[in-house]
Amino acid sequence: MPHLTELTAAVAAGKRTDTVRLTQELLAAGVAPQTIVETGLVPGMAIVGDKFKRNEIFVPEMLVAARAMKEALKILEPLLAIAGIKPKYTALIGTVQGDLHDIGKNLISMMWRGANFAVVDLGTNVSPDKYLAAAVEHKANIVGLSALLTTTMPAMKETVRILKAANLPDMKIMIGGAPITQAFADEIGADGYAADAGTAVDIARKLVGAAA
Amino acid sequence: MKPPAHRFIPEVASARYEAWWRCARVDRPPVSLWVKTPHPLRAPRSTHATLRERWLDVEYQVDCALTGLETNPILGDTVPSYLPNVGPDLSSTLFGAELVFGENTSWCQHTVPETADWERFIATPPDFDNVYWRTIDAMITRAAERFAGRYYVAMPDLHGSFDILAGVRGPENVCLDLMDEPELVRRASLHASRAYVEAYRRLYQRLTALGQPSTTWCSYLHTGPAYIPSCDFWCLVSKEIAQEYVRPTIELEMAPLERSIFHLDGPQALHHLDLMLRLPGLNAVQWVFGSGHGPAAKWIDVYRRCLAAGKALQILADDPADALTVLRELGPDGLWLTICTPFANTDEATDFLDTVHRLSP
Repeated sequence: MPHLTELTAAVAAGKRTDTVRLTQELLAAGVAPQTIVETGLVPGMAIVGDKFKRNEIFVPEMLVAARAMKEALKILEPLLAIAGIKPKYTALIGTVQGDLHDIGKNLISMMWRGANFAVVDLGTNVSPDKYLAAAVEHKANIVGLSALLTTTMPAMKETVRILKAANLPDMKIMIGGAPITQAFADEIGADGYAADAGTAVDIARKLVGAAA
Repeated sequence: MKPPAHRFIPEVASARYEAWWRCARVDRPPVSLWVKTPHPLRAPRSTHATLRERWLDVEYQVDCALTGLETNPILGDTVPSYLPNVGPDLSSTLFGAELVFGENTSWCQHTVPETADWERFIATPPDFDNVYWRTIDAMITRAAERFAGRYYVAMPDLHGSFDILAGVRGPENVCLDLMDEPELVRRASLHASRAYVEAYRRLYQRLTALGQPSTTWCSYLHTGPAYIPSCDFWCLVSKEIAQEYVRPTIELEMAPLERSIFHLDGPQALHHLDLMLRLPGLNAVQWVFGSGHGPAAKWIDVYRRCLAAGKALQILADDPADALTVLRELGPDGLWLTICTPFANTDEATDFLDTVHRLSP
């Protein structure tokens, strides 16, 4: 039987074929799907996030790692569903109204999935009302707002205002994007700011109280 | 009210820019600045049913440009020009990308759905007869007619190879393709670069035939071919990928140029500063630190590295004080000061230009 650390290394290196093979071998050996996710795959993506923060790897390397994990999850998710096991936390993410850029949002979405959050991707050009409706529907723990354009920062401010006014229990708001800073996050009342996709995992875990 | 000292004089400004490209100086550094208009701008009213119609309405766009140019005082070395524009993905439309228009910018729809489709892309010659290029051509013609030599018509915004690939395939897919099929991406990137060069040559000849010097959205002046090479995509990749795959495309795109100023956009692009400074023939750098990451004075070390490499600099200062801080720190040689916040009135602007003169012994 392969060791879970081999799976972790395969994910971190973005080796899709090896990740799928090791996942199947671990299942065949009787390892629980939840254990494979939490002890094999999630640590692999954590390595990726740390390396990304330290500029040791870049977006292509992060994408191949996320793709490897996704392939493994295709095998594992049906089994987790049968067992009634769901991720503990739900995160929404979208690019704010007026902004069609999506790469930053997609990277964070991948990293949150890699950290075993259930992620609902609302897409781009998301209105404040759509964010709010989705936050209510999915009982979101985290709502992530992304913006690449300075011209859409007011839309981010308005979305935060509307979400805050709803007073949803247990919901925290995170923002990020090229023109966004911690100072802007403080100014508009966001709960967290992430400078990059690796940091976004740390901040989200901290906000939901799951920080290591 | 002071007399209109420091008004824009083409020959004087041109001489300042020509010296600046060489890190030299005629008197003071070139200065681009804007003054708040004394009266509200009476922009032409849009009656367009869609944003697309508005963007592609040649007469309306030239009307808007003329309104702005005729209303604003033109001081210092601020090049009074109009940028024929359909957004940043004009180059990607050469390969069939359709543009989607927003209020202030446009985006393009992807036309390379799968990795294998790069072969089709490589086999496709650039299409200079699409609606966007015809519109740009009409904008150039109409602007030149209506300006009658009073204002310049600028080179449109052309993005280079990897930004074209990102436009037609999506940046994430290009990243994955670089990992899965790097040689295929290399061939596609060089094909895109050759199309970019052809686009530049066509537009340059078109503008030269109308008597226009080189200028663009980055408003330098040069009498020969000059442009602003860039690569937004390289923010996503490692130094190794940038060196191996992106660098050859940028060098290809710079080949027709006598003068070049690299548009280095955002803190993530700084990762490639050394590679950029080694580009053969590069004259200057436009470092865009971006909203929330200023002021310019915060980036003195980056500017020093550029100057030490023999590159001139466009300083995008938040305000006059920021520009003067940078000028005092670095001295006047090799600087072009651009003040991003408009001055309240022409007196303040001319005072600022006087100060720049004094600080440029």
